Order: sequence, then C-alpha cells, then structure tokens
Amino acid sequence: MTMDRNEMTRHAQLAAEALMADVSGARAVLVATPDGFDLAHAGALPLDASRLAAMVSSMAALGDAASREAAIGQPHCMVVDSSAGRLVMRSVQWRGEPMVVVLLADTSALLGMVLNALNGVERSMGTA
Amino acid sequence: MTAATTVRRRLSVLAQSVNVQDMLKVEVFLRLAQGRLRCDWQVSTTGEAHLLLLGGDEPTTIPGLLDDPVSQLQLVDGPGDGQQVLTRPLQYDAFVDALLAVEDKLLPKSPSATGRQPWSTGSFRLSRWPSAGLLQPHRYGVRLATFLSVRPVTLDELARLCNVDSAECARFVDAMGHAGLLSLAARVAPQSRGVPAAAGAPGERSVAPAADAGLVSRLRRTLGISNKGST
Amino acid sequence: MKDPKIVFTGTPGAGKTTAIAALSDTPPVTTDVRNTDPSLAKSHTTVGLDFGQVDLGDGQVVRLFGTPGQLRFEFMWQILAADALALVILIDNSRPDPLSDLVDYLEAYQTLLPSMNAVIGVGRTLECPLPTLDEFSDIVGERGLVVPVLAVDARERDDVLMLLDVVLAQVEARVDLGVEATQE
Repeated sequence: MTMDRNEMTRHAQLAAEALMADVSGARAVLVATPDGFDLAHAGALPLDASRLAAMVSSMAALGDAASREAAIGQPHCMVVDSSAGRLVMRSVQWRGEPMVVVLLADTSALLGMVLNALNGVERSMGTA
Repeated sequence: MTAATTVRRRLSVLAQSVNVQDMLKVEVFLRLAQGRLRCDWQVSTTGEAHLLLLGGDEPTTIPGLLDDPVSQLQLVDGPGDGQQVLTRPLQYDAFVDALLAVEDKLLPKSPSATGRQPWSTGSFRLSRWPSAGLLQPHRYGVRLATFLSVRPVTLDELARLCNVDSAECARFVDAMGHAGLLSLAARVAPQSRGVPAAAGAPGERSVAPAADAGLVSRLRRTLGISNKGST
Repeated sequence: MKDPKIVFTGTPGAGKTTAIAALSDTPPVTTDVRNTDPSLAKSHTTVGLDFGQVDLGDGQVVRLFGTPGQLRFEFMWQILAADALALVILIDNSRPDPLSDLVDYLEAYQTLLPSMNAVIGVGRTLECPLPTLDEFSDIVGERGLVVPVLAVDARERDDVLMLLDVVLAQVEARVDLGVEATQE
C-alpha cells in the first residue's frame, strides 16, 4: 500500500464518526478495504465488523462486475432495502486508496439524506 | 479386510551413493508409510538388504552383501525408463510402491478359506482413496476408484457403470482389496425418493441435485471428456 | 430445468480462476481487487466470485463458479455451494500448511460433503512433494469421507478436465442409483 495504514485508519474512523453524527437514523458505519478488511467502524449497533467488511467487499465487487457486464459505467452506490432498515454502501477514494463505506440505518432515515451524506465522505476525509 | 499378519517381518533398504537430502526423505517416508506397509522397514548400511537403492552409477560394493537384494532401484534425475528407476525429486508414493512390491515378492498372499477373495461375489466400496502409486498401474484406475468411492457395487455393476472390461475391473478390485482399501457392504436398499439417495448413512439427506444422465453425457461431449476415463 | 453449477473452491493462488478460464466458453467474470494482505503473495485477490459457463448447445448451460480463497469469505463458500452439482477443492501444496488448509474446507462443507460430488486437486506437488497425497487422503478418511485426491496443475487444461471427469463419474454413479430406486 502506498499510504500509511494507521493514517488511513485514523481518517476512516473520523469519517465514520462524522457520518454517525450527521445522518438521522444512522445505526452504524463501517469502512472496509476493497479486499474485505475492516478499517474503522462507529455506532452503537453490535456487529461483527470483520465479517461485515468481507461481505460488503464482495457486494461491492459484484456490483462493479454487474455494472461492467451491463456497460453502465462505474457503480457509485448500492442499497439493500430491508424490512427493518437499510444498508447503503459507496466506494470512495482517499489519496488514491480505495475504500468501501457502509452506512446501516433504521427505517426512519431518509434515503436521499443518506446518499447525500455518503457522497460527501471523500470531501470530509480529505479535510479531516 | 487387511491381510492377517500377526508378526511384522523386518526388511531393510540399503543405500549406496544416495545424497543426504534423498536419505532424509527415505527416512521420513519410512516413518510415514508404516500404516500402509505390512513389514517393518529400516535403513541399513551393510549386510542383508531387501531393497538396494542406488544414487549413482558406481557398481555395487556393499560390505557384507552376499545375497542379491530382492529388488534394486536407481535414483535418476529427469525422466526414467522402466520399473527399476525412481526419478528425483524422490516421491513418496513411488517409493512406497517399490517397498510394497518387495513385500509382495516376499510375503505370501492371504486368500480366504475358499481360495476366493471376499469381494468376488459381494458388494464393496473404497474405505479411503488409493495412493497415486496404486492407481497408476491401472489404465482406468481413477475412474474405477471414483465409482467405488460413491457407493457399494458388485464387480458386474462396476464393469457396467464404468464401461470397463470385467477382467480389468477384477484386477483393480483385487489390488485395492490386497491393499486393505475395500470395505464389504451389505446391499443397501435404494431409497425411493425423488432425488437419488446418497451412498452414505441411511436416512442421510441428499443435497446433490438430481441430474440426468443426458446432462452428463452432453457435458462430456462438449468438453471432450471420454466416459471411459482420461487416466 | 435450472442450469446446474459446478463450484471451484480452495486456497488463494491454487488456480480456481485459471481452472474456470480453462473450461468456460467465454472469458470468465472476475471480481479481483488489489490485495492488501501482506501474508498473501499475490497482487490481486478474488473477493466476490468468478463466473464462467459451458454452453451445452440446447439452451442449457453449466455454470462455473469460483469462490474467494480466504477464510474470511467463508460465507461466500456456503452461498455458492448451495445446490451445486459438484465441488472442486483446489489446494496449493506450496503453502505453509496445506493439510490445515484442507481441514478449513472440509469443516466449512462438512454437512454437504457426505453426499456431494467432490474432488480434491492438489497443485505444485512436484516442487513440494510433502505433504503427500496419502496424507490428504488420511485427513479426509478421518472424517469418514472418501473423496478423490489427485495431483493437478490448474494451468493444464487436461488436468482440469481430469477433475471434471471425476466429479461427472460421481454424478453418473448417483444417477444410476436413482434409476435403481425408481425401478424397485
């Protein structure tokens, strides 16, 4: 990796905590590497961060493969809309290093607000 | 099903001009193979040898070697010709098969009381997968072993399922039997379910989806895999 | 009838993607990303699945799936192996503890293996002759299973076809058992 892992983790943690504070209805935020390692997480929702990191990396990779197959360009976000909440994930780049940011929200969270907040993650990590 | 040998005979392998690395392997292989061999093998430096292992081209000059060894093997680099050669890097299966061949020459086989093998008339299946060395002499060994790994069969069924000559099946089954790899099975009444029952414990749920013979033959044809086995 | 699938699983670098590419009619779909695990000597690694297919020419295809190799993706192993026609487990004998690697897969698939058509292919046995194929068979046998164990090079198409030959023979053996059942 070209970036110091500790520095990357620190910025990822700050971004996770900022998302938790900014998004009404957010229950947890997870930041993962594209190959499935947990970099940072925030929120009170109990979760197995290592396992979820692996899962979302698989999902992100599959979304990327499906987008390529359908020739619709690079995927921005993926949404899993479930009966008791949503999982919304976005691939971001920070100083050239790719990451997957995942926000878990309850049903009160507005999807548009969540997507907007995730869109701003790259900016917030850059200025942290 | 293993041959009844109550006393394990001591046999020896004598090495000449074998390098240190290969000798270390020989010692490790002898330890690992104890369960497969019918005799207790040891490495010796002089005297009686049942297997002479040559690492170089020099003539044999082993002190005290008066009798011809039962077998002699040459370690060579690169592809070798014939059954008296082992190629480097020394492979476990090939070495153990050479030891088993010596044992076959020295030890009597143990036929059943009727003079026929127990598997001649009954159903049987493999109790474990055979070594590469046991499979290699049989042209359709992998295919035959594969069928025997799934379910108990009779010799006739095996020949029919595998599309292999009966005599060849019998030779293979004999070899597996003498190696102690066969378990005789009571004929299991096939389960009348929609999905074929697995050859495991009765009542065990079959999770492999039902597949018709047509699918398999079409896939074989598409990929160019003969149904008589490729090994 | 649902298109059948064959799943290739096994350790990272054992040749799963290569094996699928050797069989697939079309270039396989891959989900490789840059590897950040320093213990894995690869620049990229599969994190989703590999996908290929063999067209049987009558509207039916056989789908080929490759799983990620690392243990943290074990959930994908389960998802992909569900309803599979056959399972090919590829082991790299040059890794530090190949027998332990095999145990990971035997445990992950312990409910499926007793009745699953399966084969174990061990690669790099020429450069790394130990552990021996016998030792792999012993590990399998200790679990009351009889699964074919073969030395293979996933880069050689003939070796990959040999693995397919073995699992197809198992399918044939079970199909025949089912024919007997319907005739009883």
